[in-house]
Amino acid sequence: MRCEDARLLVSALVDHELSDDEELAVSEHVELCPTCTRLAEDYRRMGQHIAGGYRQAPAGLTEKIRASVARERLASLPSRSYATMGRAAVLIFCMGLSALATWYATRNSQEEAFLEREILTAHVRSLVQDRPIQIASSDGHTVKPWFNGRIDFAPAVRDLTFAGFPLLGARVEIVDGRRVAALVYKRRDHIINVFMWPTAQAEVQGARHTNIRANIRGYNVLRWSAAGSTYWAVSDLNAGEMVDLQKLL
Amino acid sequence: MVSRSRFEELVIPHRNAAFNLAYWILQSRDDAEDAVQDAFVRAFRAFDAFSGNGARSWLLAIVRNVAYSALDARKRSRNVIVLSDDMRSQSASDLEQMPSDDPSPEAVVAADDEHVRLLNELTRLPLIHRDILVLREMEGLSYAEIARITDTAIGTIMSRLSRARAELRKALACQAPKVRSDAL
Repeated sequence: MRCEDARLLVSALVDHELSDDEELAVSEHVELCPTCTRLAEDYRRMGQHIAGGYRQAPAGLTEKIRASVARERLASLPSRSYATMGRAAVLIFCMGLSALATWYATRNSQEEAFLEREILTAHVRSLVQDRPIQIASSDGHTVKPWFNGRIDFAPAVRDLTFAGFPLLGARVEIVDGRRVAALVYKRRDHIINVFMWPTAQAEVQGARHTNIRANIRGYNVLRWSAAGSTYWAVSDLNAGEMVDLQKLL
Repeated sequence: MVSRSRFEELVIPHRNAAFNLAYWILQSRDDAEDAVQDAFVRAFRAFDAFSGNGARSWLLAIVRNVAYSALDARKRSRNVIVLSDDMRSQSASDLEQMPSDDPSPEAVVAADDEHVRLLNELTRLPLIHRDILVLREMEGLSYAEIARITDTAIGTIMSRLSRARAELRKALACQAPKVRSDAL
């Protein structure tokens, strides 16, 4: 075997990766050739040095791996393990759902009460200030554009003079930290504030479409949802006529 | 159906091999740890499709892919850093230091020790040669297993290993001409 050819195979010889015939031929040459002998020796010694560069995993890595895998396992649980985990999953889901419902109901009623107070305050404030209106117009086509840039949605504005609820105008009100549209209607001498804003996604999913009617400190408060919006109407007008207004809106 | 105990039993024991390979590709302990965790999560996801034979090679192939991707990501982010204004004050030599954020003791201590010099040269080898040397010399894997992990032909592994060793030997000899003569 020529030395140049053998030299290329010394690496594989050291690794015992040659076929029997090749191994015989190459090792015969190496025995006779000092250059190739040195090469084989160097390769073996280099291999030992490289092996000595082994880096052990840090002590905490196993736990980190287990944690990562556990997270992944949890994330994939519903889709992967119906066979054995199905029932447990359903059980856990039901428990979670019930806990969620309880939490939600508590939270909602609290939120509802909070909102109710805010609405009522906004209404009373508008009466006290004697300026319930920032834009005075009975024309929906004037009022609606006025809201552009003042609030981040376009409220439906309709004059209801034909039904005995003339539109006096509108203003922007802050309720629960967000800007909402306040439409001001009049019935005889009663001012009716109608607050409206787009219903939040969470509320839609929570199926909170129930109407609320309440009489607080002499004011009738009406709440409903329609066409993706939440409405609150407040007035000292009687409840029956408030409902009439609700139907018109 | 993934059995956690089976995964524990077959794959987790190879965490050292996984870390070692990731370390020698990325040359950073922190990056290697991240890559290994990522690789184990991927392995877990793919465990259904795993035949059950050669868990170490199977895992190492995943580790290698993850580490290579991490390296690409690191290179990309480093390019962005180099171009950004607030880094202009940083000298080019500082940036060259960045690849190895692991202050290896070898770099500081006894530079004439062959072992130290060899590992230093190993970090300078092209990646394509470095990782097969790690798999061969540190893991003691066969050419067939290395071929499987790197998705290359056995013949290619054979010639690459030969080239890698020749290159490493040459680099070592250039530094200290004595190396060849004082063999053992």
